[in-house]
Amino acid sequence: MKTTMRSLGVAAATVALVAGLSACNSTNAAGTGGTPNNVQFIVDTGPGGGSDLFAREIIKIARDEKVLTDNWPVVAKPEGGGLGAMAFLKGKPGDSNFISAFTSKWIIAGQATASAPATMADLTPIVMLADEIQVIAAPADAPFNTLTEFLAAAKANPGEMVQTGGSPNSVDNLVALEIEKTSGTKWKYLSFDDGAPRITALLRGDAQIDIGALPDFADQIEAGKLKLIGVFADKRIDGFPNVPTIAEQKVDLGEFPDHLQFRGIAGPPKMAPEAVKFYQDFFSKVTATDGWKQYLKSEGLVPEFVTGDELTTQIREFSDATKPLVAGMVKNP
Amino acid sequence: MNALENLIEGLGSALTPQNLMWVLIGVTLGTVVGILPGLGNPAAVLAVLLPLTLKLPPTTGLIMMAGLYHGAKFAGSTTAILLNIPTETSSVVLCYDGHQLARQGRAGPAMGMSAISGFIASTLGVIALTFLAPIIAKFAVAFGPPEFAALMVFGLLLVITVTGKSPIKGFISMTVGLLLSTVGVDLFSGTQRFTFGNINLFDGVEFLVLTLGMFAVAEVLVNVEQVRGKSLLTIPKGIRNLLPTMQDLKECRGAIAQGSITGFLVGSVPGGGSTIASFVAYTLQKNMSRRPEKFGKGAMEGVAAPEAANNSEVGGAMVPLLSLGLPGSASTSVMLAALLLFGIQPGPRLFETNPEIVWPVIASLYLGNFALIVLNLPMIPIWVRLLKIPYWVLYPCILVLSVVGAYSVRGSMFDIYMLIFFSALGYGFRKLSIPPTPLLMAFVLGPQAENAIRQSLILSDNDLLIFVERPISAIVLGLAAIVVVLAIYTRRKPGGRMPTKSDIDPEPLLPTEPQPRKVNTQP
Repeated sequence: MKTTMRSLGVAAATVALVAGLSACNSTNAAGTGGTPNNVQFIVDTGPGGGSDLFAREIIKIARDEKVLTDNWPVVAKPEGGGLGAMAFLKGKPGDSNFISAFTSKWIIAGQATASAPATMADLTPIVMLADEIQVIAAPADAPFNTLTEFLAAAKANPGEMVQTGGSPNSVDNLVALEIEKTSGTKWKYLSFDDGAPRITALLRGDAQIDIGALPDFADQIEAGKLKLIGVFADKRIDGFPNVPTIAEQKVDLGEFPDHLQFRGIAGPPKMAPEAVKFYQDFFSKVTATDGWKQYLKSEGLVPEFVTGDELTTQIREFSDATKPLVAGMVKNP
Repeated sequence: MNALENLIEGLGSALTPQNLMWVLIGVTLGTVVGILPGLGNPAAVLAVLLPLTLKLPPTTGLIMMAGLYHGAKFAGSTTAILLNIPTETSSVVLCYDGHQLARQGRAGPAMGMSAISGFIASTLGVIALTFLAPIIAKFAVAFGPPEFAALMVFGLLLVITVTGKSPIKGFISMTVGLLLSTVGVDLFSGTQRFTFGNINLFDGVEFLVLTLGMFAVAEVLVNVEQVRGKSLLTIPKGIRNLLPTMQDLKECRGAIAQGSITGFLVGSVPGGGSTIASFVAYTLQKNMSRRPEKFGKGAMEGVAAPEAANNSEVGGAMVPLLSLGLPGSASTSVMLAALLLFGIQPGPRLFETNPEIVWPVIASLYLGNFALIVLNLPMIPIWVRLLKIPYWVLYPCILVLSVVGAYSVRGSMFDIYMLIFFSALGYGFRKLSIPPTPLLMAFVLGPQAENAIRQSLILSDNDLLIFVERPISAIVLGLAAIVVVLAIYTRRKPGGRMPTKSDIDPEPLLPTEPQPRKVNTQP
């Protein structure tokens, strides 16, 4: 009996603690409408992750360059690769104190999940900040030097060639599916959840191509282990004047835009126009600084500054291009 | 010997009074922060404290980070041994023998052994990194999905061999662990598994929440039924009983050597990591030991082998990082981020292009470990006094830390509800004498095994021969087969090669189970 009482006591203490924490969680100084006064930066990765570093860098540059006087805490909502962050923002309609660093992944996450609690369409896009140029890498000793030659090889050996990458919902697989469709070829997709095993898969010869950002491959290329066979951009990139773009190679991307990976800022639904204006002013100041330009360069990002209708269109185009592919994958897993 | 010269030069540039001060600060900070569950993960500690190190010159910053890293790792072992709370994945295995030793009043020697074997292993790790990096790098590249799958199959088989007296209960525990590990979005199809449409489950069950529930809170729940107002565990008096004896060290020679080699090799494979390294080293040691019956009841070797692996893994993980530019585990990916922030791009040519940074990094890793042992060996008597805290103070503290720890991983209330669920599960396991450790091991190894097997089958168009066609995976699978045959043989034949194993067969209690009842009835 006594032991039961003790267990009960412990259980009660735990419940009290839980209740206390819940209370902390729900009290949030609501700064609805008007100018933001207590901003929190929502990201979809934990400390050290891509979006986390991106947001922290923005704040650091803004503070260094005196654009920002206070400090904006970076809050991680990492559930479901963007879904958690989007759902969190959806629950704060009209609240001008929350902004988030979104990526193209968020759009796909919303499409791929039937039970998605929120999608990009729910949020207020504020500004597009950067575009990460995607390139196609292959082992240096591969018998093909361009994507066109790879496609020819894939056609000769249907279902034999291997592309490595992340989740099947990632944009590199989606764009590959589109190319397979338009070119009438078929190859395998080998998923790894980390980047490093993808590179070793190429080096080992288990995989033939990998679509990613230039910094993922730069050092291996320099060491003569990998080579580029195509660039998803409207012009050739610095340092690789001999690598033709996808358009030059006349590979049909179907509905896909050139922008495959991008980073931007979005707010909760129904954010007041003056708040959107406030953030656009803030980011135009940050992006004008030298610190920002240097940062983007070091990360291999191309600066962009797209707002308003143009931004809405850009997001919609990407969304329209990926939607049928994602839907097709759910049907045929 | 060019490599040796470079290493000595690296040590020289790392060994300035200022750097020494920072490495000590790093170790202390890392230990303090690492004691807290949730922050205990060395990768998280590094990520959180990274901005601090950026104010320093690159070499100093990296040295401080190495100190932080080792401090956090030691803290993880400390809480696992003293309180049965693993604050990071690689210290889980210490809950097996480390905590049993603490229950027998040998907490000090266990912690000392953890620090000493860790130090020896990282010494060996640094030496291997210095001389063997190019060869090991080739091995790391050759280690693909089929090889990894074979290693994971080996690992899971070994999990069964450590389940103790009742293989069925161990198997139940392992199966629950495997099931829990499938929760989340499937990597290969994007399909949700057991998420019930709840986005909090999309990324799976958080390891730390599972551990805190199954170990920390469940332990408190079981123990409050027993304690009668006394301190929990006995602490022997005198410094001699607080550090490992020569006899202990002698017994553990083989374990330290085995753990160091295993840890280094596992660490050098991208995707390996210290958790797998420590599990594999522990189970290998149990199967190789002349005293396997002591494992799970407080075998010093059961502390030495995994801790050696845990530490030499760092050296191993630096191989792909420095020679290929690929992070092998979570901690090295933070190191990679740090190198990048300092404007250094690691990669195949790093040793040639930036020797002035590579060798100090290797030297500083080593220095961090050295500082740890200098600082923490004398501190062990103080740490051990944690056990003197009366239960009515300690248990509420553990509960608070567990709840805060569970919350802080992702800042999610949902994880606290999960903590309550796993606490109840862990309590039930203890009441039914089902060992919780196979669950955790399976939870960690399961997804890796599944991914590697499915990746292999994608490559081979579902042809199972891929696992035996590639030499490394064939060798690993062969070893696994030998382990199975040996296990069956020794179980069947009391006079077999490992006769000691059969001696304990009739014992009804699971050796892997903490036995609070026994301890508390002691005068």
